[in-house]
Amino acid sequence: MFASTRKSLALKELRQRLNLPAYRDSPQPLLRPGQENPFQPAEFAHGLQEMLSAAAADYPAAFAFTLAAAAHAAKQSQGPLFFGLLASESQERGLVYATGLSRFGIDPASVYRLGAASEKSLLWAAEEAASCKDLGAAVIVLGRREKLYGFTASRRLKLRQEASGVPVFILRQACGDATAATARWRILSAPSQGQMTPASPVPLLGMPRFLVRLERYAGLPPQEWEIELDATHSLRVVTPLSNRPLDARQGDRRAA
Amino acid sequence: MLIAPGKGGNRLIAVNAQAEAAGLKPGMLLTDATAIAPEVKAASHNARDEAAHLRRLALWCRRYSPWAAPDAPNGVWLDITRGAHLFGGEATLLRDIRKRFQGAGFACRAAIASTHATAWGMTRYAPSPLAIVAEGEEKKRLSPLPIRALCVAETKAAVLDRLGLRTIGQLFAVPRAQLRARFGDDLCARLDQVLSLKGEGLTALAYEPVYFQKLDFNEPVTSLEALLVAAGLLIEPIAARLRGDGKGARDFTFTLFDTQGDCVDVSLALTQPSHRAEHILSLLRERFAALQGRFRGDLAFDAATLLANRVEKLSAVQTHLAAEITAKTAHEDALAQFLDRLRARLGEAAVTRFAFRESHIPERALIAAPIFSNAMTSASAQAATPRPFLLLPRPEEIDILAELPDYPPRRVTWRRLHHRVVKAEGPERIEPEWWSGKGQTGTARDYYTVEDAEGRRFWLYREGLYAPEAAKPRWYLHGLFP
Repeated sequence: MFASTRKSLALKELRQRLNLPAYRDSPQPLLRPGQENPFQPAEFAHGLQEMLSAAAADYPAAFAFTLAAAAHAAKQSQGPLFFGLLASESQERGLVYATGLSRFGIDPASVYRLGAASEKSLLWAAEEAASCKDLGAAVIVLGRREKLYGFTASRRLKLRQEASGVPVFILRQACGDATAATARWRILSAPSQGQMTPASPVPLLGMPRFLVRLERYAGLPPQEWEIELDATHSLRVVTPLSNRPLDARQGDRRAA
Repeated sequence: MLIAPGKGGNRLIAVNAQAEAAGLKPGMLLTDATAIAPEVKAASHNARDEAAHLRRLALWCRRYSPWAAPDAPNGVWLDITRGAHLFGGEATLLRDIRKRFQGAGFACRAAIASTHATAWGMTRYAPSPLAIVAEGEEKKRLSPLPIRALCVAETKAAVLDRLGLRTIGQLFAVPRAQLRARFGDDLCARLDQVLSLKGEGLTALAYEPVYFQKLDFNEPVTSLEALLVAAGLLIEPIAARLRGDGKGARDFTFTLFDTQGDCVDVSLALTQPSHRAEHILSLLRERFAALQGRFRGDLAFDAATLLANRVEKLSAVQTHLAAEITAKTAHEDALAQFLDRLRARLGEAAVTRFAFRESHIPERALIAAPIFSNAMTSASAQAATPRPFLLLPRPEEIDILAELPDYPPRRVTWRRLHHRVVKAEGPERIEPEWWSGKGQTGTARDYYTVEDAEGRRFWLYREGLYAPEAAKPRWYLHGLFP
């Protein structure tokens, strides 16, 4: 305990000395304790979280935001991650590529991946994962055409999850009837803050950004944030009216 | 009778009881046989089928001992060392074998002896169909038997026959040196094997303690529930013994023997060696659910065995030591049980981990490995350049609109959707691996990372290099970035 506090202090000092933009600019950490933001990590990373991708093309963004959140949740217990996907949709939606997972601070060695043959076995595996208390987090990606997931299935999952305490993230595309999930998020991809360089004809890519809408959470009105996944693998709220990508706006005006 | 082509035409391989009564013998020419008994039917002999059947019979014989092996062309070896008392003694065991084989429609002879050679001879040439040779009595019991009971080559047996040496007893009487000079080493070696003066390859097997349990049912059983109860009864003693020895097993084979001389194997492969009866039973239950289709109503089982394999010492049995160690052990246990359940229900290959290979080609650098492999080499996981977190198994061809060659495209059309590129990085060139031998005829790829106006990021590549005279280059989408 003592050693870890000392380590984090040393890291903080090092970051101040480095004075990099990523450590000093306006985005505030979303998932850091002690902020006014109502979403403390302990709150955020528990229960049954439903992540919806607003459109099919937003699936990578929704998956990425889910992975970042799951990595954060797993950090507290140091347990491995479990990904459950449909094997039949690997071409349509892409296979998880381990090298790219380092972007979220996930060690590929601590990932177990299930390629389920059907939604039925995927949901069965989800329930098993939800009751395995040694997992850091479970990420379940439902298929494009879900049939079985609904209130009953989510209630069963929630009961199992509450007994074990393992955070479970359900990634879905459709949003049909009510479910028993703790929270429901809708995620869109957002343009990153690009970087102009004289050497390149077009701006370079910035840190990935998401437009995250909290649609349902006990006792809170729906809210929306623009969130950036920064170089330290943490999710930060992008403060409004600052760090707007100037060129993109100009481009929009010109198009209009 | 069964026939096969032999010297001088088709010859008889095997005859049944009626044909034997009519005076037919194996080895006869088919033409002679039909002259003697024209009413006997002949069928051609299929050695492959026969070997396969013999193998299945040997598998079925594992109900008596885990060490059973087919002995072509017509026998089965069983090693019942220290096991006969489980069946009520050697005599009862032999009677039981004969009864069951006859029930399944086989003619059966069996013998128990302390050497393989003796058992072989007694089985085939003893006056009674069942014979037990006590240790030390081999010479006395074998002496009246014909020379062929020694399993010598047919030519040698014929020569011995001509010399008037008809029984094994007569051979014992001949001085060894003369026998060796005349008939070579193998005949003497065989005589020694009979008397266990000389070991046989078969007997030299060294045994680990075998974790094996057998259960006979009073009545043939058809229901899965009853078989699960039987599995529970079998697991308990094995688990207790494993626990007592501080060991766990990775493989369990649950074998069901039916009344028709066939058997069904249900195998489990565990992530970690285990001796937990309830865990193994729950895995078996999952496997049974998957096997349900194979159990037809007409199958009735009358015995079951359970064999624990790949037994390993469990290092973490000192549960009373540091609480930290205990917590860690329990941690890994729950995870292993979760993975076992997944694999038992959804198949061995359903759950995988990531493993890296030394390759620059993105789709070759990563493979799905079984969960207990240690193929992971994290060093190469850290590529210097960014990699997508979602990769399409097959790159998909896209339409692009480019301003200048060797510049990133301005517009990308993927799956009939247009994306206006506003930010881009690249190119990163990945060359084909010419050193990895034939079949590598790919071209170089130039990879770009692009972002469209909505912030969606794609990993694209152009196949081949730009050349002014070449045809329009083809572009592919290979991955997705957050």
